[in-house]
Amino acid sequence: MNAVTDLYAAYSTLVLFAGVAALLALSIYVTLMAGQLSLGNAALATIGGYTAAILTKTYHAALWPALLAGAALATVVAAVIGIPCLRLRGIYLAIATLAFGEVVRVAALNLTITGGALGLVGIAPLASFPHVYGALAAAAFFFYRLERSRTGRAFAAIREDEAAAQAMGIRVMTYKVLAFSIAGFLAGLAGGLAVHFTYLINPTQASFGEAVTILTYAIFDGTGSFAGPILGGMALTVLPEALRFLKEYRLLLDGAILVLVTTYLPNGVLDPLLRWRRRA
Amino acid sequence: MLEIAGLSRTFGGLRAVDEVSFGVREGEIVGLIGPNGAGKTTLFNLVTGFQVPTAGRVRFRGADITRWSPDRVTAAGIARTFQNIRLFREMPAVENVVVGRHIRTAATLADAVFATPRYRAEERDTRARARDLLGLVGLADRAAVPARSLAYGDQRRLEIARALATEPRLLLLDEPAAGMNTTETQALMTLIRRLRDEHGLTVLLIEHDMKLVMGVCDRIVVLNFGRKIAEGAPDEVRRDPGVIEAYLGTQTERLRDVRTASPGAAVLSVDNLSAGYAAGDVLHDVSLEVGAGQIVTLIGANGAGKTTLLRTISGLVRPRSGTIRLRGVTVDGARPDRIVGLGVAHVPEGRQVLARMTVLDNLRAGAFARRGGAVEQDLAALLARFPELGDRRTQIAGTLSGGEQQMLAIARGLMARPRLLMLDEPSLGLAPRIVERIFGIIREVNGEGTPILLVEQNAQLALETADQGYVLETGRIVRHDRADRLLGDEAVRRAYLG
Repeated sequence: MNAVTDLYAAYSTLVLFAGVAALLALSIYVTLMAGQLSLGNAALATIGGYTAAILTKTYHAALWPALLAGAALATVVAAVIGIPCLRLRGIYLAIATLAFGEVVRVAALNLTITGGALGLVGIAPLASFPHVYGALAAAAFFFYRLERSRTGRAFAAIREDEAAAQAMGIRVMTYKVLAFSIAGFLAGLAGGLAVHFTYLINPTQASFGEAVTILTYAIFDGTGSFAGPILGGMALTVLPEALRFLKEYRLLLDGAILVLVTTYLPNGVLDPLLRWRRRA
Repeated sequence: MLEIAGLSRTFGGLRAVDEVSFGVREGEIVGLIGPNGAGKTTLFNLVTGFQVPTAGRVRFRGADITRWSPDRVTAAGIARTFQNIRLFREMPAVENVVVGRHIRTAATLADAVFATPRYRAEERDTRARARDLLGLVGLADRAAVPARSLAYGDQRRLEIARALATEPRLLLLDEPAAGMNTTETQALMTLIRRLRDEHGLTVLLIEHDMKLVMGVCDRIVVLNFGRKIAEGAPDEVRRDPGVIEAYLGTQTERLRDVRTASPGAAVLSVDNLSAGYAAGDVLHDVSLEVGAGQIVTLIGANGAGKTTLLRTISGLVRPRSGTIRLRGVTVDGARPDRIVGLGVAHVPEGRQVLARMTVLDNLRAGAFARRGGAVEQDLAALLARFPELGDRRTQIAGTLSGGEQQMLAIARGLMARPRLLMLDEPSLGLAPRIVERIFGIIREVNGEGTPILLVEQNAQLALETADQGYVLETGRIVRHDRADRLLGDEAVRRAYLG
C-alpha cells in the first residue's frame, strides 16, 4: 500500500494533467461529433482558468463555485463566438477559431486583472485527484448518455451530411452552437481545474501550440465513442514523460509518432484493434 | 395541397426555373419530367427551402412557405429524397430512420442524461417505428448494415424510409428508380401506390424511367429549359409534340450534308463489354466500333449507361469482362493516365473545367500528358479558333457561361492532340443557339481528322451530326445503324419515352 501512495506522490501532477487532458480531449471531441473542427479550445480553457483563479485568489471563493463560474463564462463565450463562426466551414472555421485564440492570448497579455505577461501565480492548491477525476467521470457519463440521445444523433447527422440533416428537420445552426457551448463548458472546467494544481496561469496557455496539442488528443478517435479521446488525452500526456530519457530527441519521436499514425492509421490508433474484435 | 405560382430562380444569367406554376391535390401522384438540366431538381430545392426563389410563391396546405428554411418545411409536412442519395453513410440503416424521427420527438438533452421516463418511452417508440418503416420498404433484415454498404437500390429505399419517418403529408422523390433494375422498379411502383392508398400520402416525383412515370402517375408536369411546357394525363403528355421535341430534339433548318466517308481502320473497338459499380453491372455485353475519321454517336435515355461506357473506355471504371482496343492495343483494365497517353481525350458530362483556374491554365492542363513542344503554338491556334475563349483568356473558368465552359472543355480536350475524342453530353443545359455552335465545332474538329465518340441526349441533333449511331437501353445496345437511318426510328423514340 505504501508503494502505491509513494508512486502517486511522485507522479501525482502527471496523473492530474492526464485527467485534465482527457477533459480537453472530450471538449474537442464534442465539436468533432457535430463535424466541426475548432481550434479555440485552448483559449476557452484559458478563460476558464483565469476566471476560476481570480475568484479563488482575489475573492476567496470556494473551488467548485469558482470552477463552475469559469466553465459558465467559457460556455457563454463559446456560444457567442460560435454564432458567427459556425457559418464558416472546414478549414475556415478552424482559422476563425484560431484567430479567436489569439485574441484571448493578447487580451490576457494586456489586461491588469489577468496579470499581464507574468500571468497569475501563487494560486491556492485546491484541486486534487477527486476533483479532476470526479469531473472526468461525470463528463464521461454525460457523453455515454449523449451518444444515445436525440441530440447526439442530430450531431452525427450534421457530421455525416448537413443538407440531409436539414431535410430531417434538424436545426443545424442550433445544434452546432450547442456542441460549441458544451465544448466551452468542458474546456473552461478543465482550465479551472488545472490552475488549482499548477498554481499558475499565463497567456501562453492560449497559444497555437496548445491548441494543436489538444487537437492531437483526438488521434485515438475511430472508436466512434467518447472512450477514444479520453484515452488519447491521457496517453499523449503520459507518453512524453515516459520518453523523457530521450532528452532533446523526444520532440522528434513525438512528431514521428503523429506522422506514422496519421499515415497508417487514418481512422485512429484503436481502429485495427476494433476491427479485429469485430471479426472475432 | 401544394400550390406553386410563378416560381423562378436564376443563376447568373441562366433561368434554371422560369415562371413555373402548377398545383398538386391531396392524394395525387404527380410526375415531374423533362430532359437533363430542365430545372426539375432546382424546383424541388425551391419548394423545400434548400434554394431561395428569385420570384414566385409556394403555398402548402394554406400556408405560404416561400423562403422557409428546410427544417421548417419538413416540420410543416413535406419530406424529400435526394437525386444523388444523401444518406448518413456511416450510420446503420436503422439509425438513418431514427434520425428521421428528429422533428417528431421532443426529449431534451437533460431528459437523456437523466434517462427520464419520457426519454425511455420515446426511444422505445422511435426504435419500433423505425423498424416498421424499414419493413415497409423491404429492408427489415438490413437494419444493422451501415448505409454505405447497402446496394444502390436499397439505399434509395432507405432514403424513402428516412423521409417517411418525418411523418410527411407530401413526399417529394427525386429520381427514386435511378440505378434500380426492372424488378426493383416494379416493387418501387407498388410501394409508391401503397403510400398513397394505405398511408394517405401525396407524392410528387422526378423520374426518367418512363415506365414508372407513365405507370404510376395520375398527372404529369413537363419542364424544359426551366419552363413548364406541358401538363396532363400520362397518355396526353406522351403524345404531345412539344414533349417529344424536348426529349428528342428538333429537326434543324440546315440541310444535312449526307456523310459518305467510308470508315478507315478501327480506332476504337469495344467487344462484349460488361462493366459497372459495386452494386452491379450497368453495361451488359456492349460492342461498338469507331473507325478513323468517323463521328459515332451513342444515344439513349438517362441512366441507360452511356456515361459509364465512356468512363470504362477511359479506364475510370474497370470492365468485368470483354475487351477494349485502341488501334489494336488492348487497354481494358489499364490505368486512366495510360489511356490518356494513348491519345484518348474525354470531355466529361457537366464540363468539369478547373473552376478556379484561368482559361489559359485550363488549356495548358489539357496538354499535360503531351511530350514534346509546340504546346504554345497549339494554344494560340485554339484561341484563334474559339474567339470566345481568346477574348477571355485570363478570366477564371468558373465565371464563364455554360456554353463558354463547354467550349473550354472541348478545347482542353483538343490540347492533348487526341487520336480519339469522347464527348459526354456537350449540349447539356445549353440554349439552342449555343448548341448549334458547339455542334459546328464538333463537325469542324472531325473534319480535320479526329474521330469522335459522342454521347448525347438530344438524339435528333446527334444523329444528324454522326455517321453511325448506337441506341443504348438499360445497358444493352438495342439498335445500331447508319445515323441517318436511325433518324425518326421507332426504337429511338421508345428508348426515350417508353
